[in-house]
Amino acid sequence: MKPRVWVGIKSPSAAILAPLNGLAELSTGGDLDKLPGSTVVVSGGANTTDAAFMDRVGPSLQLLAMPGIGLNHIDIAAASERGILVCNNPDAPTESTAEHTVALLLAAAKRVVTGDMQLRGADISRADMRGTELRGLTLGVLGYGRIGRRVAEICAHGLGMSVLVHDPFVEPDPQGVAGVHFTDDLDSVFARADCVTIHTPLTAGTRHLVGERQLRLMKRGGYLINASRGPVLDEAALIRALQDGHLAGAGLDVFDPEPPEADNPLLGMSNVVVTPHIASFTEAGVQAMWGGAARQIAQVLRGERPTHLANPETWPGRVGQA
Amino acid sequence: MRPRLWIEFPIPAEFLLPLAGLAEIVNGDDPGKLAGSTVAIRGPGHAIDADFMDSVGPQLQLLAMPGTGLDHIDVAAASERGILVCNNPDAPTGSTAEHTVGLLLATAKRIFSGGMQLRAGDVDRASLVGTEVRGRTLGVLGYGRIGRRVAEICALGLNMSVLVYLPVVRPGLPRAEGISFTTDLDALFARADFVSLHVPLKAETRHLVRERHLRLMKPGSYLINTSRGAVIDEAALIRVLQDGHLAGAGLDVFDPDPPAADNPLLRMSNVVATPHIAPFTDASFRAMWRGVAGQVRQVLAGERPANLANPDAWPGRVGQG
Repeated sequence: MKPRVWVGIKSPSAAILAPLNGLAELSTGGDLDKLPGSTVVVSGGANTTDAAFMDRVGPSLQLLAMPGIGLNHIDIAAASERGILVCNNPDAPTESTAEHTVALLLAAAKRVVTGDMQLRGADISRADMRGTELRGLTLGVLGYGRIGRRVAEICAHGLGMSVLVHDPFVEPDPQGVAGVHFTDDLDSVFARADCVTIHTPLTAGTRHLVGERQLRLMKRGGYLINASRGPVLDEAALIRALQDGHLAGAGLDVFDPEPPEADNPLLGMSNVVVTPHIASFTEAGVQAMWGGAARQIAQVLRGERPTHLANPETWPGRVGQA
Repeated sequence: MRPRLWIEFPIPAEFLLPLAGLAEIVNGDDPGKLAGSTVAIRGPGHAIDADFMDSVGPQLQLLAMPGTGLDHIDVAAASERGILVCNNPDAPTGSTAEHTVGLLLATAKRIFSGGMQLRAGDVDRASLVGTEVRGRTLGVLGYGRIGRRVAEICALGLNMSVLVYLPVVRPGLPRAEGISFTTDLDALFARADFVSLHVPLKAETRHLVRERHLRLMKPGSYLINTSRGAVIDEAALIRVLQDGHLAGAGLDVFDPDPPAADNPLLRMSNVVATPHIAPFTDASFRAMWRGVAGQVRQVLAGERPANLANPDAWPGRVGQG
């Protein structure tokens, strides 16, 4: 009997998992009856993958594969304890997510969505469509991993912005990037930046990293962009800062909770650009994420170590035990 | 009596500070005060023809344009009458270029349709697969101030390959890494994944982009226009969007502008449309009105304005009063 790969999130197409044909039996409908006895589970950010879930799959489970980068929905300690491998595809969503971030920044600063709503009949005054020129302004970047770095590059080299980075875990580039500066003081990012964009993973240490105090340190008329994870930002504080006009606008691809409730005030604000967690969702991004997931699943099914193992201490875990 | 400066639309007062004390300012919405004005300012989309000039009367010395485009002004009629025409070509450059890239990314990333679906509580993810722009080819028509800045942002920031169309490539044109030139308009449409228009509207650029050009583009590509609506055959654009040949369009200008309420473009979810607001930022408005004030000051002092669009008319009626 072939090992079963159970896909818990909607895959963009069947063809994208074709590399697994012949190697595994694919269960792509999210059919819970087929979950027990699976060897690999593909899960996305919206599915909580905890100890109880892993035990429901049973002792056959060798790999939890994540097409994207974020692992905050997976209890990695519980996986490691059980000898279950966890892998992601950290490079795949980088470019698309960075580009989406800049798209949100420009859409908010240029009143692109506000203007579009007005043209399509919404009652919006001309004053509400007065935007901000970004060249020469300061962009604060929280988190200088793959995505934060690429956003900094686009904004410094392309838009001519001055970029100020805060990341306690990353040493400043020794050779430096023109237009990109570093600070180890989180508050000064907010005090100095005209726009702030968040690119940290969601961990216990980054939950509500950006709260009321940080937002109030920003200059009046600033912009906040978030394409990382909703809970990194205190959403209630953001709503207040937008409602009382302290911030001029926001661009958000992520929410807390996600998807956002229908009555989330952010969805009713014409100066907030919202997208439904689609930053990495481009043809190239999807191909890279699912192609990477399929390759790592194939590696594990052949008894090899997957390229992007998130819990290396667990290797080889249950692989090769059967 | 102080000379009168007449502005058709109300402008936020803060931008008019540089004009304080220079003239009696009619800031919007008072057509009764047009006659007898020395300077008249009217935005794009409202023709400034011989009749308009004659309705102002013989005191009219200067038609001042806060932005760049002069397509709505009958410059020949102005010159005939000795009326000077000036604009402020540097003021809207940065903001208009940034708005162009904003429209490009908004269409490529499904920002508008994604937002609409989320606000309606009905997200169909399959309809929201966007395009990664890195490595894609951007075709730029026109290499004036704005076209050049768009080319720079997209080449140096987004790492797109930028192909610029020019009727004649003069040696020594500045060119950042990632930018190349072509004199073959058809080749530009055939090669580009995105095309962005940055030519002024003149007799020879009216409907410069026709159905034939749009059909040369690869299926699934995008068209961006922040120049003037009539540079493109809008009916042709509507057809190539309706039949799915193009994946989307980002438009700040229309033909006519503002667009009619029943313009099909305003009902398409793959079109990002803004109401001619590309240059409407604090920085660019400050620069435009500083430029207007400086040139009005020059003309009232009998000097030649810095950006005179009809130098043949100089000095015209200036100094005759």
